[in-house]
Amino acid sequence: MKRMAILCIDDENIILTSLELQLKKHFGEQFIYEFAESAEEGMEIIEEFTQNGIEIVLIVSDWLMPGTKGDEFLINVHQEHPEVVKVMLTGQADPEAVERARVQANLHCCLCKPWTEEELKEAILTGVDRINGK
Amino acid sequence: MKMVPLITFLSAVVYIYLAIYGLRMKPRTRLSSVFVVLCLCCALWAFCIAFMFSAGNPDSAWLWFRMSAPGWCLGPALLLHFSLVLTEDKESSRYNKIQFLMYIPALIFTVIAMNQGLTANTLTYEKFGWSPLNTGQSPGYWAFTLYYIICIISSIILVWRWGTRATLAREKQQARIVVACTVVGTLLAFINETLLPVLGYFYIPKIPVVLWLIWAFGLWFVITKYGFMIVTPVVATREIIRSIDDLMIMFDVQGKIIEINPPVNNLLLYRDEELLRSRVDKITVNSQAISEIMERLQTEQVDSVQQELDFKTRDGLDIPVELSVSAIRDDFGDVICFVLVARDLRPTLALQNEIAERIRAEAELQIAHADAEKAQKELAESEKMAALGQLIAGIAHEINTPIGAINSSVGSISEAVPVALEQIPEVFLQLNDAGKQEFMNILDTALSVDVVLSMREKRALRKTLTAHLEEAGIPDAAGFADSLVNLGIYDLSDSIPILLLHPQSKPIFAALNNISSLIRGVKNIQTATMKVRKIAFALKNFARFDNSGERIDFDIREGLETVLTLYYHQIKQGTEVVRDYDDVGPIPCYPDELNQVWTNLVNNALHAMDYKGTLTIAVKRPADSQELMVAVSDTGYGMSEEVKAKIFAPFFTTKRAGEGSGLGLDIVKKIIDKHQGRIEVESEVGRGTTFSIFLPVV
Repeated sequence: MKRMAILCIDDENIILTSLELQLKKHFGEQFIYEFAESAEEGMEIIEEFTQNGIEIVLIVSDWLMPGTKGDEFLINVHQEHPEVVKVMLTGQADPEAVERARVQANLHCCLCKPWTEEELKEAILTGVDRINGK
Repeated sequence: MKMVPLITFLSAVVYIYLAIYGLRMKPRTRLSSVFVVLCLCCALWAFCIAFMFSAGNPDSAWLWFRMSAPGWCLGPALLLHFSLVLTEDKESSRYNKIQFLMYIPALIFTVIAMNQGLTANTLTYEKFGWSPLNTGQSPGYWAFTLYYIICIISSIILVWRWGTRATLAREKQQARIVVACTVVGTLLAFINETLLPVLGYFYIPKIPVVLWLIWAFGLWFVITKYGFMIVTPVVATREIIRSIDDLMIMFDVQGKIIEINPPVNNLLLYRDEELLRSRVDKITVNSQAISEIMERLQTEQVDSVQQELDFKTRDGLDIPVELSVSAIRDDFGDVICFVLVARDLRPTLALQNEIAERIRAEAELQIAHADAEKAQKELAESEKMAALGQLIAGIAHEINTPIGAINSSVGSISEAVPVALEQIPEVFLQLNDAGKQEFMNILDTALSVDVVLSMREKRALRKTLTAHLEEAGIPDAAGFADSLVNLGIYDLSDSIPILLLHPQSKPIFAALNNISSLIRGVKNIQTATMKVRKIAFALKNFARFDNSGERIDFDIREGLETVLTLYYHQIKQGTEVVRDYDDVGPIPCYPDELNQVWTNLVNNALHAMDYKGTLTIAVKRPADSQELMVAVSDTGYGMSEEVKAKIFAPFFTTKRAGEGSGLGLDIVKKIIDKHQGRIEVESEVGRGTTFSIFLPVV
């Protein structure tokens, strides 16, 4: 069975840790989880996974990060991996950036910090359903 | 020539000199006019008598004698007139009009004397020349003598009384001299001319005109020594009335104008004769106004009434005036006349209007100025608010991040705790003592981890551990490696935990994972809380609300750190911060305002390099300097000389409309000025900009 992965990107370690705890609790070993502290690091992981034959089903990305911003990163990913479900998680949603990601990266949804567990679970479940339904 | 006619002739010359002296006196007064006429009379008298003395035959001598008559006939009357004018007061001035009466006898005597002789009918020739022969028989002679004596004595009495009544010592002295000279001169003349002939000494030279010189000398003396005749109170009063700028009108109880001064003519455009003896109501717009004032003054026994009313000029122009009408009363309290003093109010009103106009203009200017100041203040305030708004948005994000982490971690922990409590006893039942020991050791390690690894480091560790476990033939190496890293076990080179080899390794590690989640959740919350605290602290520092208005000792570095914390959100987008701080210690300053300076400089620096580059903040205190330097450098676009020249000007901005008010550096400059500091700017296009602030240490 080809293993499925969820990639989370945020420049804040505490956010990544929180996401790891929540995701592992809810989805356990259903997915492989990987975490990156910048868009560049995220790209490296995507390449590595692709090489290792691991399918990334979903990306949760912060928007405001040093270097490449979330919308730009998701748009870049979308060019090569349009099938990946993209979720934005941001504390300061720039409506323009969100809209750009929605149009150019087929953004699945945008969550605002602080997010609730339910929102996250819902976003991931509907995102995975989207893949499975395809 | 003989002695007597010579002396007489010389006295004529002296009289003419005195007459000229009198003519030259300024100001010309009635007194000096009378004096001049008197002197001329005496000159005529002396002149004719001198020629009479030395005439060649009786007929020409007789002719000269008759020619001298106007001089000696009018002389006494003129002397009396002179004394009257000299001693003139209110009461005597009322009799001005009848003063000419006293000249009637003088004129009658003159006519008689010139036609047929009065005091003498014949002349005798003596050794000194021709002389009138007074026999003392004719009634004309006695009439003239009586007239002469009355005039002289009246004069003397008038001047004497005037002297005794005078309040000024100068006037008293003048009166004494005039009286003495008049008495001596006229008495001697009387003796010489009248008394001696009556007593039978007919043949002495009759030179009363020469003896009158004594009187004339006395007058000359007081004129030159005391300024006599130059200014008498009456003259002075009249002169003052004429010279004042205010309008003065005197009118009688019937309201008929008695006297006016030139300003009345000038203002109202009437000639003297058009006003004098006219009713005073003629010059007012309201014809009853003055009558009412007169009524009040007469009935209410008040001394004066002040009022504003309108005068009417001859041309019908209305002129607002402020007037004061006073009643002049006699000793019985009855009103003799009224004095009206008025002032043209137009210049005053114009001035008042001008003042009011200026005050209004000034007030308008102040309001405009205040408005401009307020507008600038508001702009400065909005600049502050815009910067603050930007900061707050960043800070909101900064706070939302740890709150999101805390929120999510709390959820994870609360669910993990009951699971862990269930799992642990079950796992322990499966373990022998060594296993239990290792389990506890692993938990100890997990609890003692205090270094937060980056995701990249964790990934590297996981890879190493996975490889290690795969080598050891352990299934699901990646899963266990993940667990081990999260539990803080990074090195398996010494030994592989026995729990990994346990047949129940899966549930055992599930329990350990659960516990590590608890621990990591708690640590995550601690980290997040620290972040919130740091932001809260920075916010608190940023606005100290120190309103004392006095400098306080404050470490500049703290303020810089506060601003950097608040700007962390913007900085982390791609800016590296280099801190080059000397250990400078606190300096006296206004920390709040300096924070505003750092905010502006950091904001500008970040903006200048699009949030990507190196922000260098240096705090230096040269050992031998009384200044502390704070330099904020960016690696941004830099500025041209042209831009550099304008940056401190209010409202100058290179930012797009709406992004900056252009007041940021203006405010910075004002704050630094307040600290008596200075700012230096170095900039190179393409290399970046450095703002250096120098603040006095003491």
